[in-house]
Amino acid sequence: MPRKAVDVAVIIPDASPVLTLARIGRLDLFETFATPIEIVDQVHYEITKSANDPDGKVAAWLNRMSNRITIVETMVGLGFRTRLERGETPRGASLGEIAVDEYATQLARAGAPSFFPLVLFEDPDVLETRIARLPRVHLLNTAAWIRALASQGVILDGPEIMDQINAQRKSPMLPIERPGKTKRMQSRWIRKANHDAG
Amino acid sequence: MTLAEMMDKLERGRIGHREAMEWLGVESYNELVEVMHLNGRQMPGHRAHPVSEETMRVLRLVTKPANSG
Repeated sequence: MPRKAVDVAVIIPDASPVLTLARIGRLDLFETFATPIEIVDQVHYEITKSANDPDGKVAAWLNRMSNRITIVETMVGLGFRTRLERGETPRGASLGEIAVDEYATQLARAGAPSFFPLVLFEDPDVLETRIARLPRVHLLNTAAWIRALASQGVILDGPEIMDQINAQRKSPMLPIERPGKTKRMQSRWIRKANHDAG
Repeated sequence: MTLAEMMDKLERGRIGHREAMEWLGVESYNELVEVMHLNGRQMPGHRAHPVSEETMRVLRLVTKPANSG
């Protein structure tokens, strides 16, 4: 029996997609998502710190999108902030991914059976984290996202955007997408006009 | 069409290599295979290299954690 296609319920971006699109001035692409966007506190810290957002593009975007983006507290982010407040200098490397993993796992395990969060990422190491083994998490990277938007005709400059992104990388970003799958359901992030996939 | 949908169609033989390569914007078959494998997919008609039960037994033996008894 084919699986029922279920729309993802929430978008949880890692820091890399936000920073990549900020660098090429295309944060507007987040507006193509029809579902709410939730940014975990540690990722919020990473994307807004002055080293990563020197000209305030990300902060301005967060302001513009304030009615569509929620900042979510995690144990990882709380621990990091606590150590900062104590005057320590904790290493922040990978903590964003770990915070995303914490939050997406919590949603996928505690939510309703048809609740599928989508994690938007770039670092293929995400495929080694716990969320990659959870059946109710949809994984999508920036390259797969942009190619699908172009394929659907939502954007007309998909190849140019990918060229701009790849020009800043050592090797081209390969597209990755793993829909969430249970026995009866499969997640999707782009809505079809006339028919259900699956 | 999303990447997952394209890969589903390719795996089931509903689209060909050329269409898949066009969707991905790649020019070589190797790149197409690389994307499929990166996403944990197989090219249509391909299958994982068969491994005999004897080889699997030896593999389990040599990869068994030291403290597992």
